[in-house]
Amino acid sequence: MSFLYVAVGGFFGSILRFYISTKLDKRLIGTWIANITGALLLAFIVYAHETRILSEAFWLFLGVGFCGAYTTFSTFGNEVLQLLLQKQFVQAAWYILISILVSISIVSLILWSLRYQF
Amino acid sequence: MIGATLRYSVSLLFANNILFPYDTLFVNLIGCFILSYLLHQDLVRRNFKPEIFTGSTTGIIGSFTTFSTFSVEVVSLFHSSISFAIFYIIISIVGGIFLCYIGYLCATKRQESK
Repeated sequence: MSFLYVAVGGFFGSILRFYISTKLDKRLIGTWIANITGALLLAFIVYAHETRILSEAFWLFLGVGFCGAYTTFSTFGNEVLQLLLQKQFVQAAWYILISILVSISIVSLILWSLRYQF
Repeated sequence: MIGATLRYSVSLLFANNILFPYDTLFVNLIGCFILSYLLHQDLVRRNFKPEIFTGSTTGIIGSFTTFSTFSVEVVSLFHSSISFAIFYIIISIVGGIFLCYIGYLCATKRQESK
């Protein structure tokens, strides 16, 4: 049963990511937006799961399935590789830094403001 | 759908490790390699219908790897061990890009030899 929750969540997550990437026809920004908003959403879901607001089924559906599939690391890595192959080293460094720093800051800020106990 | 289920299966295989998120690291690194290989392999691109190609790359591999779990794990690692957190970031980024490059080399090398 747990696999079903993850699969259905993953189904919606990947479709939403695909929709965003086709709507925002520009390079990188689609992946970036999906990754940042997904990390933001997951921070709330982790908190809700730990404080037992969300049941295990919802955690599997939203956290593992939806957020996991909505965000992507492989496309991020390949976009960085493309920039490096085109010798756009500064853009590659910026893309990595902005993705990592913004997502970590947002997650920290949310969990800190919710007084999350690690 | 398939990608997310596969990722969940991997996380069950690595279960009960709270010290270091090996499962996420594993799926992200493997996913980087596979996606890069598929994107740069002309044979795959030519023989698959565009819908199936997008479905397997964006769909399966894109959902197999995850950025949101990575971010949350980094933040929670920072609270237990700062050095583990920094190590996790570096190995994910450097390893991910390195494996993308290896995937690219594997895909293009085979085309040259033909």
